[in-house]
Parts: sequence; C-alpha cells; structure tokens
Amino acid sequence: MSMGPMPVSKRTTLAELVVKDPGLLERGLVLVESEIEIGPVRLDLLCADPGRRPVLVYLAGSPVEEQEIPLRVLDGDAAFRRHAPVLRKLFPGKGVDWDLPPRSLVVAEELSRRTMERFQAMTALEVDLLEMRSIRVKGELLWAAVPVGGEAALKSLLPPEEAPEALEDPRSRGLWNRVLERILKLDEGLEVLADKFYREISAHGVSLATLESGSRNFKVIVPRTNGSLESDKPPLVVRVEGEEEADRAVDLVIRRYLAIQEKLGASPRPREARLSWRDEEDLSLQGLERAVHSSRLTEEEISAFLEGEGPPGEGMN
Amino acid sequence: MKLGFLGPRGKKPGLLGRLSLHGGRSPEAKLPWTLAVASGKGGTGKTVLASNLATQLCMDGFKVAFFDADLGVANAHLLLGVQATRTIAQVLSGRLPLKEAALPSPFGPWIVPGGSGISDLASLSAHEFLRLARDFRPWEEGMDFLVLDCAAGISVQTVLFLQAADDVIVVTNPDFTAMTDAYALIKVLHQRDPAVRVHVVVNRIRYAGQEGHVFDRLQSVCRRFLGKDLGFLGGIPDDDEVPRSVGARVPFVVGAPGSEVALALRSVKEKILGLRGAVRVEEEGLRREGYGERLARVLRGSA
Repeated sequence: MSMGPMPVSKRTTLAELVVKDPGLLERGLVLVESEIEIGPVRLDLLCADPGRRPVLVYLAGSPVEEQEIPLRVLDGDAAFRRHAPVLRKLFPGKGVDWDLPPRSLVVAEELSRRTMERFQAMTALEVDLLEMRSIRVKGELLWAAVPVGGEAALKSLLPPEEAPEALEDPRSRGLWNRVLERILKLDEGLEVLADKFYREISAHGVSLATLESGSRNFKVIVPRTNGSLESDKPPLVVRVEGEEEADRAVDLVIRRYLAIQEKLGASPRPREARLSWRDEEDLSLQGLERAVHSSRLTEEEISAFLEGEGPPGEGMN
Repeated sequence: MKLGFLGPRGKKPGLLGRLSLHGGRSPEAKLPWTLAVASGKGGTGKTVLASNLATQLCMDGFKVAFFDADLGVANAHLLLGVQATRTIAQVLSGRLPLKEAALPSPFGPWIVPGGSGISDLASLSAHEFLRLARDFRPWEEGMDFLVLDCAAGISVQTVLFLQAADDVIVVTNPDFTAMTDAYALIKVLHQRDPAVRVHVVVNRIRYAGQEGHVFDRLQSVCRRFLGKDLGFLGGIPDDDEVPRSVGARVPFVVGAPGSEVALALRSVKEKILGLRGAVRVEEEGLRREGYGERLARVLRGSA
C-alpha cells in the first residue's frame, strides 16, 4: 500500500472531485454553486456547512496557483461580504445563513511552507488549509482531505470532549458535553472520531452513536438494533434541545451499547474510579456478619412486647 | 479510549491521543437526603410505602433517586411502572455506571432496579460493595432525596445500607411478630451505631389510634433495653386502594390521591420534610459527603 500526495496536477480534476462530493473536503459540506466570479475574484466553490455558514473554497492545482491563493482568499472574503445581499437573492433556499460570516477552505495537493506561513499571518480570516492525499487499496484509489494548518483546522483538532465551535448556544453546548461524557463513561474502550461537527463513537469496532452538531442544537444518531447490529432501517435520531431529549438519547445509546456487548460477547473495560479513594485491600464484613448473626432477642425483650394494658395489635395477649 | 480526527469518509489520518475525562467530585453539587426504608420482616408493605413516598416527593417537586436495595429479589420497579431494561446486576458486573442504570419512572423518581433471581446479588463481598459505593456520587448529585428500599429482615447487606442513610424508616404492622422483628432490626442498628436515627411507620392499621399503641409499645421497649428514642411518622390504614394500585402498577398517591391511604402517606411525607428541614438548618454548609461516601466509610468500619 502506498501513501502520498495525490497526483492531481489539474485543478479541473480536483474541481470535479470536490464538486461531485464536497463532503470529501469536510463532512456535511453542501454545494451551493461552483465557479462563481464576483468581479475579478473567483470562488471555485461556494458551500454551506452543517452550521449553515457560507464556506468559500479555493482550489490550487499547481504550485503557481498555490502562490496566488492567499490573495484570492483575501479578495474573496471581501467580495463575498460586499455581495452577500446579491448572493442571497440569487441562491435562495440553499441552506446558507447569509448573515453569518464566511470562512474559507484552501485545497491543494501539497501546500508549501511559505503559503502556510502567509496564512498564519492572516489572523483576521478563518481559513482551513487542506491537502488532498490518497492511498490505493486493492487497486482502488481512496483519498481524503487532511487539514494541515490554519487556525480553524487547529481548533478542529481539539479533544473531542469539547463541544464543536459550530454549536453556539451555550445551553446546547452544556448538553452536548454532558451527553458525550455520559456515553464515554460507559466503557473506556470506546473509540471516538471527531471533526468540526461530528463525533462518531464506536464500541468494539461497531458503530455506537454519532453526535451531529448544528448551530442551536444537536442530534444524537443511534443505529437500530433489531436482532442484528447492522440494520437496513434508518437510524434512530434524537434532536436534543433539552434535558429530556438528552436523557432519551443517552438511553438509546445505552441500549445499543448493551446489545453490542451481548451480541459480540464482549467484556466491558474496567472503569476507573472517578473519585480518589484509598486502596481498600483489607476490607472485611466479618465484624458485621458476627453482629448480625448473633443478634437475638432475649426472653425479656420478647416478653416486654407482651406487657402493657390491652393489645395494640393482633396476635398479642 | 482511543480518539482520532475524522477526515472525510471516516479515514483516520492518524491523530491519536488519550482522552482524559474531567472526573472527580463537584464540591458545590447538591447532595440528597437519604431515606432508607426497612422492615424486620417481609410483607409489611415496605416497598409499596417506599415507592409511594418517592412518588409523592416527586409530585411535590423534588428530584428523587430510588435505589432498590433488595438486590436479588427486586420488585420496586414494577410498582413504579418501569420495565427493567437495566438493573443493578449490570452495574455490579462493571458494564454500566450506576447513574446510567437508572431508569425514569413515569411517576417521577429515577430508579435503579435490583436484579431478580440472581442469588449472588443477595450477598455481595466487601469490595463489591465498595465499587457500588463509588458509583453513587455521579447519580446522587443534584438529587433532593435518595430513597432506598431495603430487603426485609436483618442481613449484612441491609444493615450496611441502613447505617449509611440519613434517616431509617422502619415499617411495621400491628402484629406481634412484625413488632418484634422491627425491634430486632433497630437493636442491631443501634448496636452498630447508637446515633442512627430511626423512625417508625405503622402500616395496615385497622382502627383509629392503633398506630399510636403500636408505636408506644415499640418506643417503650427501645427505651428500656436500648436507651433509644424513636421518631414517629404515623400510621397508614389498611386500604383496598393498595392492592388495586399494585395491580395497576400505579402508585396510589397518583391513582387515588384522595384515598385514606394516600392522605396518610402525605402526612408521613410532611413529617419527613419537617425532619429534613430541621437538620438542614443545623448542617447548613456542611453537607459534603454523599451516600456513597458514607457507605464506604461504614464499610471500612465493618471489619
């Protein structure tokens, strides 16, 4: 198996790939339009992310084009902001919130150090730098865009227990963190794959749940388990907007988790103690056992219940 | 746990790391008042009372956790309308944290069902108890009350659960064996910890005032032989609503709120709230130890 930069020397080829499936750049990205020219500025793709934010995509198919990218990004951002009202009218209902500030994706087969340093200096803009990389497996070319720099890319690499930035509502962020923490505490062996908007959680190699972030709330998606771990039926989806939905979502995940364990005959990973307790190797219940087993009422005590005037209850003389 | 960055199409570009969860206690978290309901013998109506008490507290707006401490012969979940898709068995086997084994009853309380037909659960080792004790904190944080429905009779497990509670409610009936067995339980508890607070509820009373007679008798014996004073929470009448509610799997405080038994239960509840209020004033700002921590402390002293 070989691995390395994809020989995409023509921007056309790159464009064909990403127009066909913008999700290859970033999961959940939806194409609005391609090859947009706003005056002298060219946007290769205009997309919307799951948070409905406009995403401007620039493709660099050659080293020369790569050198031009920083300037294109600067001009593109300015042009977009100036022409947002026009774009809003031209592309209604495309899943974009035109009031949100745009962000940019720069895609190339390989980005030079110089280009990356230039973008590091462009702190006013939110830019992700992606390199297209591929591997060939059993004759089939598989490829993916790998974030290599830019402030937004770095932020997406934060530990997955932090709620995605796209999830803006503070209450929803709290719910996200609590839901994720509860799920992760089920088993130390859970595997979590994270990106900007998603957390994919699996147990013993089987999909357990996916958390998908919106801007105001989020969804928990749990595959159905009807007799088998792989079901054709659509997954169960809970849109979490409050504690009740969060509890329902976690309940579904727990059911799925227990089903996975049962089906695979898997043992749970031992969970660490969450609090600091000292080691209790010498614990014993012997003292209590002695006390319990030796407890008997004396005749005097029993007789005391028979004393007194008149029976308080049945069975007493 | 493994984590990685999700590239498009789910391929892992190879960023792995250890995820360290934020764990540990929340020093400012609310911790519940623990009520452990017990009886010296079976059949006194303890579980019905505990489940209805928990429900009534929820109806009053409190957040209630209900732990079926009758570990191997659980039935409280049935009375609370819960299907036991998860039980304490999965907690003790390490499959689930205690908090995630809790199920919401349609009547309000969150319940961890005990297992059924699993004899091993009826006799846990000290270390199994300790693991269980450790798991309580995440569940009990934020709750107002933790109600434990303990197994009937006097067993090591029951005594442990009772010793760690804030208040013990002993349910007795107005018959000789129920009273003597209740006393036997109180005696063991008192010998383990003279400071344990015990309150009595007389269930299935048949005439007005009978509860007072029963309590007086029990109180007199406790004072004479143990030097101990008991609290009195009142009496619950023998009412046809009870078997009806059990059959319907709806607590009588919900299904028949105006019935005599429900009114009596509410009176018991009010007295409990009065107790809690009094002690809260004394311990204001000092409650930092949850039930799990107290259970662990009791365990350490049980050698």
